[in-house]
Amino acid sequence: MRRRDLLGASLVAGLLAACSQAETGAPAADPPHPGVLRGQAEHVLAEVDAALARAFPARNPRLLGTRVVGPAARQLTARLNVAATRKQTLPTPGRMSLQRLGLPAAGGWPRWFLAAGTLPGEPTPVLRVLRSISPRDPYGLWGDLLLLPSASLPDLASPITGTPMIDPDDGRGLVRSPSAVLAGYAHALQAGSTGGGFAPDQFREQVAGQEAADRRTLGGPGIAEVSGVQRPSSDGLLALRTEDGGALVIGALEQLYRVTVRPGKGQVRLDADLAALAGVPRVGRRLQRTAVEVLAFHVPAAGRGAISLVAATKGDVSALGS
Amino acid sequence: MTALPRFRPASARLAALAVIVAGAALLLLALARITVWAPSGTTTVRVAGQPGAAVVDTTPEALALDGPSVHVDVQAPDPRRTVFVGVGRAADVDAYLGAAARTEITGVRGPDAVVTKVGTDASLPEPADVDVWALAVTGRGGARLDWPQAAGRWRLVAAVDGQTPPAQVIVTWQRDQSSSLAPALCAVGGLLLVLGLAGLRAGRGRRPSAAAGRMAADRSPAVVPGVGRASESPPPAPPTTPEWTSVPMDDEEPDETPAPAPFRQDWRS
Repeated sequence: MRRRDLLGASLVAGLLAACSQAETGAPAADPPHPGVLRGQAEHVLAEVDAALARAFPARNPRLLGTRVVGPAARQLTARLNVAATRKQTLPTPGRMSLQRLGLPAAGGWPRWFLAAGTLPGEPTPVLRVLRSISPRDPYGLWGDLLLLPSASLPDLASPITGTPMIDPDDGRGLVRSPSAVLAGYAHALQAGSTGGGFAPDQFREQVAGQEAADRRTLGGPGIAEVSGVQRPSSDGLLALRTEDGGALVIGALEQLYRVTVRPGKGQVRLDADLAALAGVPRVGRRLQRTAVEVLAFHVPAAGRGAISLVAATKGDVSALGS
Repeated sequence: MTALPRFRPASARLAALAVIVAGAALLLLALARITVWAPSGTTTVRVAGQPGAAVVDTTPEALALDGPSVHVDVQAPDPRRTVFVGVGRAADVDAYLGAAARTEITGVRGPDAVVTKVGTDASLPEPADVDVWALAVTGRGGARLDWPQAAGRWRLVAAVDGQTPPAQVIVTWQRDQSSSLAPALCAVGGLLLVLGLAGLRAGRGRRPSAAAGRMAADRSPAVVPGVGRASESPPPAPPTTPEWTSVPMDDEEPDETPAPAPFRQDWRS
């Protein structure tokens, strides 16, 4: 009798439990996908355009908010501060006409994506690099590069399901690891050398030419000593697999540029922008100028030729003069 | 030896009738499920924001209830406040929410949401300011979003500013009608009905040889003369067949199932 009661009670309890079970779905696992969808990327780019459109007319870097980060934030902050000091009117960058997106495969943070296109009135195509440092931080413009003459962006691998990212120190299958590419280019810039595994490019010629001109102007007559150091910045590094088995590597360098005026040799007058940034029109002892260079390289697969710079930008971010 | 054969045919016939009744009941139930008891095409639940839980969200399993789409209505605690509703990849939303205190919809039970309070952090960054959303809408006083179900695991978040919970979140799932039980009920009911009828007829076929001449008449009750209830179910019984005689039908092999003579006796008495 007891057993029958127990069985009955169990049956009733089982039925009640079955009836009271919450209804849920059974979602399938995520298919391979990029970290951002096209719509998300377009939303981010519009937010960046809006932030630039707020900050430029007001010459107020605070209005860039969280939509400009990393090297781009430092460059634009300096540029807007200089414009404010000099009471210059800066043309507001127009809305970018998007031509290509580079969407890395979903993974952890920081996350990145690329957008290539043109700006109104600008003949040179731009490459915008955007980064989100954590899930609670929005994507911001990290780099705003110009494509170099005759350069083109390599096609990225798996553009639909998300391009695989390459670890900065992983040089397997490449002529050089991404971090070694950046360090190698810093060395080549500092040495003013050609070669070093890099194809000749206009950017390196310009930087080397500027430094050589300063040396001639200041160092030649013995007025001042000019020295410069190029080093990879701590802003991060992005490396994406390209369709040809190589990589698109994007990173930032810091250039520390020092002018030490020899005692008794007078003062060195600074150009207007540099004077506004340093807060002094001329220096009698020392000038330390820091610039940030954001660079994009096409790194071929091992044995497939030289590394080529495809896009770059450079801007002063600080200056100290006395 | 004598009691068992008399009992078993009646039992088999009773069982066949029970199967028929069950089949008919299932068919009627199926009919009801597609007419008067038809399930609603939508499931709607209402969840109020809880003090101390900054957002209302769903688990991937809750958002993925069968159906083509989900409609979400979020109401602000104050008509002047802007509210947010967004859907993102579950892993991304997990990372964004972190340990934030939230009212989480984990499923539905009838017209009610199954909710649980998760997390401890009182606030989190304003959801409209992060980029983990595949689809997001903001609106003053309220916001509406339609989410077409997509492959993968997705989560929904409704919020105000990451600190104040929304007043109410109404989630409406467009349900998949193809998941109705009616076809299954219909199929099982029909099968039972056929099996029951077949069992009944087979039972009738297990007739002693003495009655074999009337078997055909039994199969067509209308032609059985002198039996007033021939047209009713169950069909009229032949004269009593006191003992089972194992004479098979022409096209049937002997079966262990005895002819249902005792039943007929009972029925007639």
